[in-house]
Amino acid sequence: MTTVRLLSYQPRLFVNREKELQILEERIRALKEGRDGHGVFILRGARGVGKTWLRHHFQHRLSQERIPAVWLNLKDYIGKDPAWAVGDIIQRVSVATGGPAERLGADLAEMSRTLFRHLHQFLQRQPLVVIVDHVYESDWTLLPLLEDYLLAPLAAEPRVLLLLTGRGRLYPWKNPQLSTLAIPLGEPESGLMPFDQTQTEEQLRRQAPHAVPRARDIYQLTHGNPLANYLVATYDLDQAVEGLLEPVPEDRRRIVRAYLEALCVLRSFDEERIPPMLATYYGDESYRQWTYAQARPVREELIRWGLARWDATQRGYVIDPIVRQLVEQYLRTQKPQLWHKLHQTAYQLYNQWASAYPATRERWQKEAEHHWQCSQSTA
Amino acid sequence: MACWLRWAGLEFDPFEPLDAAADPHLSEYLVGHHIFARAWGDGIFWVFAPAGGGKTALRITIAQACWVGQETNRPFPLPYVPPFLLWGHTHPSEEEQWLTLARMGTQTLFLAMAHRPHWFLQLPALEQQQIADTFHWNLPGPLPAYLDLCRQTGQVGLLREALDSTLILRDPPDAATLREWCDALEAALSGQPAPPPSVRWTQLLTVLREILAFPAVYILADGFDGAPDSADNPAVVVDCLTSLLNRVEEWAREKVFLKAFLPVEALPILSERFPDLFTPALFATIQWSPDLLAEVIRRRVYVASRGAFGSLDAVSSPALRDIETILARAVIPLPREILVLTRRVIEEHIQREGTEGLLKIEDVHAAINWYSRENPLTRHPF
Repeated sequence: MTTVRLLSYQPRLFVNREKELQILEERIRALKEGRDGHGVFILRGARGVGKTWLRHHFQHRLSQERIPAVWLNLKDYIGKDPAWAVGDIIQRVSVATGGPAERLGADLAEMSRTLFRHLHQFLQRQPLVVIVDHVYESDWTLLPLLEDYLLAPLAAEPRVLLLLTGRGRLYPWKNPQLSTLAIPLGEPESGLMPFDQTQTEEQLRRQAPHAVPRARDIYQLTHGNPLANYLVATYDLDQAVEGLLEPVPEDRRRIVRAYLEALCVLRSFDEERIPPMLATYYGDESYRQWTYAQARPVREELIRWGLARWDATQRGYVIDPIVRQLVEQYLRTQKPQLWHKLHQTAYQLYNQWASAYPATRERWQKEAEHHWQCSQSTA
Repeated sequence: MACWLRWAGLEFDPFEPLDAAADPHLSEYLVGHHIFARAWGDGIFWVFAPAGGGKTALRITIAQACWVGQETNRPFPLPYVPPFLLWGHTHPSEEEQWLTLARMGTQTLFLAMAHRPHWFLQLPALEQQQIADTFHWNLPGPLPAYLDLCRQTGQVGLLREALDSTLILRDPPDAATLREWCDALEAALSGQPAPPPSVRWTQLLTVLREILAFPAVYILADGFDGAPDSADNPAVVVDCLTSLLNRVEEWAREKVFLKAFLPVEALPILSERFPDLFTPALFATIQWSPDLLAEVIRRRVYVASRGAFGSLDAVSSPALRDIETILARAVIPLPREILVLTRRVIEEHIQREGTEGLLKIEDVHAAINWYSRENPLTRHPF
């Protein structure tokens, strides 16, 4: 099996996102001209939707215009002591903006004060862009410190553009400039949107020209998710799924993929629905006896890697749409019997719930009907 | 309760603190963001809501948004709760308003500066003297007594208890710096007698805007419906406000903005008497629909579960879905009411099944029955 390699950003391979870039560049113009305006932007969206490439492209434009930018990748701080991490981040901002390289203070408060004294002088000469990556995937013990000592004071600076990127659960910032008053790029609720069919074709033309004749089929499968477009165009479906699971550490990838395969047929799931699906997936009825506490780590792991989240409309957890789409397609085409069995299990479960729970019968009946129809269809 | 919350994956009890001022997670719970977005920023603004409708929560959220970072580059939040109504005085004069503003603003500045002594210590002597005199004239008790509170313990805790326990700033100074500030402050006192209230108010603004360079002052006026005379009589609220309202446009030109959190019953009278000030662009009304009330619970669940789930549905039996809406339709439409009922659902569950297990429809029925007995005028949704 060939190793899956994700495509690295190159300016000539970049397509679309004019609207988002225009919003950011308008703000940059305002900063350069000394006009006031709110400068916190949020870039979020599903796995593979193009956040990283848009961030790269924005940085590329900034470097062309010689606008100072600091990129902070919070992924580098996973598992680190939060106070140490925030201290290191403050120090990095200082160095990147030509400030003191030696330790800025005895504690975070003093480091923050020293940094902002330096930044106030720096900002008199030029604006500054600070990009913080993987914000929403970060530990909720790190973010309050980062907010207090760096992000909130930065958000209050009129000559700073702060771009927060990430996927998954939004962090409830205390400071409204980072939440309520921040400007979302893309759609307010879902963030950056996938490409349409024309944009998908254009992407393939630049990144995988051999696949252009299959553009329509690829779009139907991926619904325009740029990462999935590239993976499906370049690799087989099994490898494409592996490519989507790249954020999961290698030692957890196999088990996480198993969970996803077991649950992918469901439109939403929770700890009550995990045991029967795992029982069918592994062909081991003992999973049905799993308690809520045993099922919870499965749900928690999928959330931890940003592969699932709570969905208010579904009133349950949902798997990241493109991951679910590709994993289910993989099962449907490569393991059709298992795919049928999983739908049948879901049908039986929902049917049972519809009979047992009159107050929510309609909801479960609808789900049962969906799985009945799927289990009747052919791969 | 704590055991069930832990079992459910909630890291703290998000339904317990019913007093907004005492809730450390208040800003994270904010719902009705559009009203905050309108009230925030340099401008006069009025927020109307019924008693218990979230006025104080919003006022505190705005104040907390001002206390970001460690410098003075954010607006200074001046909490203004009129004391007159408590002693039945409903027509305060301008002089009385100025005195109250000077006192309340000074109290907040003093407490904030105890947390941030560097604001003071880096100033030249003359400016330090102006600040010391402002404290001396306007604090409710003698300045040395407050300084002794700091010196005795080397901490700001006692000072907070004495002046305003709701003002929580991160990173208080170490004992040595705090004592250095106390000594410097005492040494800077000129001992001048207090001037008239208008001068005291003007001097406070000079300290805030010119010496400390706060970009703006937000007067956050609240508590108008808290006194017996004003609770049921909106005209009293209007009378109490009138001497302030005559000044607000002049203050706004100096970047001092009044943002008042008022009982909804006062809106018609104010609109009639001050039509230029109470235009729709300058006010918002907090209205608690069942959807928004349900959001109160969902948001708290989201924060307490660290973003893992955003509804009690996640810890409810499949027989129960959209639990927050069911509860929201059963209560008097106020946030504290739905918090009380939600808590009761969990208590009912614990009574029936112990400290583990999914919430059941029976728990919800029992809680609503209890709530209906306690509040006979509410509508039972079943």
